[in-house]
Amino acid sequence: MRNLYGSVLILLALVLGTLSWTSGRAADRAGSVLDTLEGLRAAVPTLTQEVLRLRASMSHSQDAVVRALQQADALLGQAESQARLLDADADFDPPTALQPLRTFLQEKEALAERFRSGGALVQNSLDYLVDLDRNAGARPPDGVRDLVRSALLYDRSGDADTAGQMREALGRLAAARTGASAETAEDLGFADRHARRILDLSPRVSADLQQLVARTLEPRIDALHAQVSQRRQAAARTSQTYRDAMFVTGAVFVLSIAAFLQRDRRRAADLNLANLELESRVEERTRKLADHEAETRAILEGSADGILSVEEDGSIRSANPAVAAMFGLSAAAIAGRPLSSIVSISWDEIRSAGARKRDGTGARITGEKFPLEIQANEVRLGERRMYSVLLRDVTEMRRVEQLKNEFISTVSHELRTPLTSIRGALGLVASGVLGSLSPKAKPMIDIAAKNCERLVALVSDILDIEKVASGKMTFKMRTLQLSDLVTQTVDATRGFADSLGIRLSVSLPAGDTLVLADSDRLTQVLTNLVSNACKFSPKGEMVTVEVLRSGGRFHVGVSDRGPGIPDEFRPRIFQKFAQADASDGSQRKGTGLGLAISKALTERMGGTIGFDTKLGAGSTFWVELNEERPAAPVSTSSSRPRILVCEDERDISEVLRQMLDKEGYDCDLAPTLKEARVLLAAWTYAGMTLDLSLPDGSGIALLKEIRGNPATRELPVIVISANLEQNATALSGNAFGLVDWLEKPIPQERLEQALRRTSVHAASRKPRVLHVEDDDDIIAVVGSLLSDTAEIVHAKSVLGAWEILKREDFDLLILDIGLPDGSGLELLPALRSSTKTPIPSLVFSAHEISPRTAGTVTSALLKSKTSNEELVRRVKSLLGKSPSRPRAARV
Amino acid sequence: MLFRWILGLVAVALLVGAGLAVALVKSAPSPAPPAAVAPLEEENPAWMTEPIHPLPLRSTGDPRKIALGRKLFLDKRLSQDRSISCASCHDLTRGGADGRPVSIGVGGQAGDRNAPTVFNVAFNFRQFWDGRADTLEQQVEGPLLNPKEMKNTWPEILKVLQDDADYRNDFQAIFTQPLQKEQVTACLASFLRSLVTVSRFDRFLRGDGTAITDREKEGYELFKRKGCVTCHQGSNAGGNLFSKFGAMGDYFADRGTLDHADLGRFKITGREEDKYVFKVPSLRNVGRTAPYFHDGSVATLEEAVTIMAQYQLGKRLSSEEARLITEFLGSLSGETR
Repeated sequence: MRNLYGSVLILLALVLGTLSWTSGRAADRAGSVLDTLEGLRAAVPTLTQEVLRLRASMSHSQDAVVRALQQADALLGQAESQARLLDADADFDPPTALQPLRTFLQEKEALAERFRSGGALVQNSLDYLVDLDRNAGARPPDGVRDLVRSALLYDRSGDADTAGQMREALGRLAAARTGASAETAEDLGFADRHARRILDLSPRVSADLQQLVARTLEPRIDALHAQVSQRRQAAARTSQTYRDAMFVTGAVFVLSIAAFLQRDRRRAADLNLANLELESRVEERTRKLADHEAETRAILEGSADGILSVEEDGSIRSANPAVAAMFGLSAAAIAGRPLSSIVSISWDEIRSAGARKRDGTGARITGEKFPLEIQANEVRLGERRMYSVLLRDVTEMRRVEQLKNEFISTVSHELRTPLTSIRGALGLVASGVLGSLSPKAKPMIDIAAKNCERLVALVSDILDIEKVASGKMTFKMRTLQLSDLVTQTVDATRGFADSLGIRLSVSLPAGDTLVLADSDRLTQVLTNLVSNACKFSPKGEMVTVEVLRSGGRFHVGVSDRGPGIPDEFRPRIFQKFAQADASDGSQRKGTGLGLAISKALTERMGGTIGFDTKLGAGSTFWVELNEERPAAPVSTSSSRPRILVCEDERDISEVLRQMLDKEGYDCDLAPTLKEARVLLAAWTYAGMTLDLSLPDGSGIALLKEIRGNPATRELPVIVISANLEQNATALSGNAFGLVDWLEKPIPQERLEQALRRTSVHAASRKPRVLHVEDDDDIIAVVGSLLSDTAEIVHAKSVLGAWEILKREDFDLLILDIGLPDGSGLELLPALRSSTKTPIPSLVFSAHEISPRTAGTVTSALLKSKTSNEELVRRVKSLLGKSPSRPRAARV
Repeated sequence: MLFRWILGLVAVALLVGAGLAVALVKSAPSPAPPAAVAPLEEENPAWMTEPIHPLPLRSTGDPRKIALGRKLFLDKRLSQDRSISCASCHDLTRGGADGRPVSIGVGGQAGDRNAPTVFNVAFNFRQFWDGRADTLEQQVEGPLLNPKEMKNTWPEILKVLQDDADYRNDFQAIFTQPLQKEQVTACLASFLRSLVTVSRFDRFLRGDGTAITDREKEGYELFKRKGCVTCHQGSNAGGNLFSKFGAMGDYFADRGTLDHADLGRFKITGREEDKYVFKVPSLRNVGRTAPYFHDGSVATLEEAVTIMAQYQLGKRLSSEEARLITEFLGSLSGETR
């Protein structure tokens, strides 16, 4: 009750005070307007005075008039802006009230301008006449003297009589002009014009002056002054009234308090007793609280993890000693800092992650960075929101994790080499190349081969997982046609699906389906999803792969009719070694790593992966990737051999380009002989197609040049011509060393054959391969695989290979990286140091090579990931792709 | 408990009361702002009776705005195609003009009138040949946006300045508000106000009889006697008055052509009496700003002086008289630049 009473009084006093202050301010504002108006009132006479001085020729400079006008203008502008702050009411709107002043001043300014210009002209004319009279000497022409006198009088008086005198004098002057010399006549002509100008302008100048002087602002300013001043007084009175009321209220308040105090003193004695009891209770509570707090503090201080309380805006409120130790800062230095100043993650990010842990880095005072885990929990203290933030220094954990990963990686790499031998050997045995197997041995070998494949897959998956986790996996992101990739994947999986009795169906959208991805990795993901779907579908069912375009993204859905994914398994499905119903696992034949790898790969390529499932009805696993805008075709800066296409018809050259591209060649187009010559001089080509009829001459001439030049003598040339028979005679058989003659339209097969002959043409003997490898088993298997394709020489060390390379020529080098005396890659510079075309190199190793090294070798294959067929195919293609080399190179 | 509460209330009440009392007592009328006109340095100096007055000895202005204004003045990026700056046509090393009859704007376009000097523009009562701008702040916007000159737009100009870290810092150091066009015009205007060129003639007016030669003194006497000072007076020897070109003869009929640019102030006011009326230009640095007149049609100052006498005063000048006046006008050129 008393509190309410007191509060009302205080509130009242505050309101009254505010009102008083507001009115006081209004009065002040009105006061400043009044001051400015007074200034303006004083400025106007200054203007009048300066104008009069000018007219009376007391002043020759017009600056003063300009300045007086500018000052009046500035003062009025000031009054206007001050008046805008005044409160308007029904009978007085300050800006409107000032408007007539502004209009008036503008008129005055215009008037002054006209007066000044006119006055200057009149002054000039008078000067002219006076000058004329003065220069005329003792006997001026008739009328001049009268004209000057009357003009001076007229300019002052402006009456009709003097005007008449001027006109009369002008008449005499005109008469005098007729008899005068040419020069005098001209002067008198000017005098005439000056006099007329005086007659014309002088009355106006005088009128302008009168108006300028007569029309005064003062009454208006005074009226306005009175109005504003009235308002000022009213406001001041109001202010005073409110102030008085406020002081009365204050006095009442003080008196009331005195009365209350008197009453309180009487009650105080009674209260004292109760107070004592209360205090003892409070003390006890306080002690308990202190104990509790000490306990909490001990926990906080003993914690190895950093624990912080953080305000809603991200500034640190307090921190436990672990935080201080972690960052090397004192607890006092930490408090008040923004959290984001010591950890790498923004506060918003930490807060939005909620209770989820986030990885980040912290910076110690020494500048050292360390990994940490951050977790924020919202704490509500009444209205206030706070966060308790947990920081865990995971340096040690990460180190252990890395050791573990390195261990796994090393073990897996070590597994690769023996696995490759086993797999190769088993493959050879199982295929029957080494003699037929007994019916009893055959199934056993097959089992061994199949399980070997599983082991290989497991090792690869483990290495993949480790690589993605450690960020060592590199992605060759390219713009790809998703539809093509899906089709290829499904086609490649068809055999597997058939073996399980599953049918595959594909549905693709129309048009381009461009995405940015690593083709191999995306294929890996899709293959995994499709083969999973096959594995989990009942026999005879259909697996559908569907590509959909939705809002700038492509959605690849792989649906099966399997049992669906049980609820409890759903959260774990993308984890490592997770398989639903482990008892059923063996039947499914998977490593349990596929989905974990797929998720990691997809996310690294900027996509998302997920699934929809319904128990008993099947599941759809999907991958979503952003649509890529079609880019301009990028010139492939590949190491593919180049063919010069000398052809003037665009359609034909385009067809040739596409055919050659398919065959693994890059093309340079030369539509004229001239361009062909330039290109031939600048580049080395693997071959050339030549149209015989070109716009700037016959291809036969160019052919002769090519054969005459030692640099191009060996260049394989395929002649393409519309009328072959006619040209056949000109080419007279094989004297030009042609590979083939083709007639338009070009038959695809003939071209392919011709191209193949291009390479054969260059190297008709069996190619020689140097295999640098220290593992005898691998040597044996590879030797066996390539025995038909090439002649193989072995070297078991870098030094050995070096010696052999110095003596002998080779067409291809197959390199292992891990050799007893170094890395096979050390040989690479030697391969290129030759002036000849470098020997292609194929790295065949258990270790993947870095992207930088990848650029220096022709090709690379990973042991245990490579099937026998793939190795043979790659070696053959590398051997076939060196047709530009007439002889094998020597180092 | 209650006791404390009340004590607290009393304290608050007393504080509030005291605060209000102070506020009320302090509400005395604020002092009047200083007058806009710079005070003269002497009470009644000798030159007061002369038609031409010396320039003030010191100019005022915020040095930061002046420095930034200079930078803007020299920056070609203020033009639409970033090819010209203010200084391209108002070359500070060439009398503040460019020596062409009319200037060349963005894309090689010719302007309408001869580029006036930027020196001493603070002492002109209006800006441009036709006086259409009351202040330099208004004036500087003209060439920036004129399609025949820098052809730019404010959003574009502000974007250039906003994107430049240096400018951002410069503006932030001076202004608290975010960048806007008024800040740009204020800086340019401040810079222009700082372009004051005190001449030998100023020293002469202030009493140094040896500052100008005898011939120049003779020229000044002629300049006064012939009536040139009726218009070319004041501290800028002009620039404070409008006048008709051809007051004593039809200059345009004699020139043979008439262009809309010749209509002068008529284009602004639409009043018949304002046809062919221009601001009387300042004659300071006139010796360095050939060619002459709004159309840049006259190549030499002597010729310009003769034409002015003929068409404005109705007087023939002998070639010696014209030479003397021309020599006098040379003494109005700034000594520092």
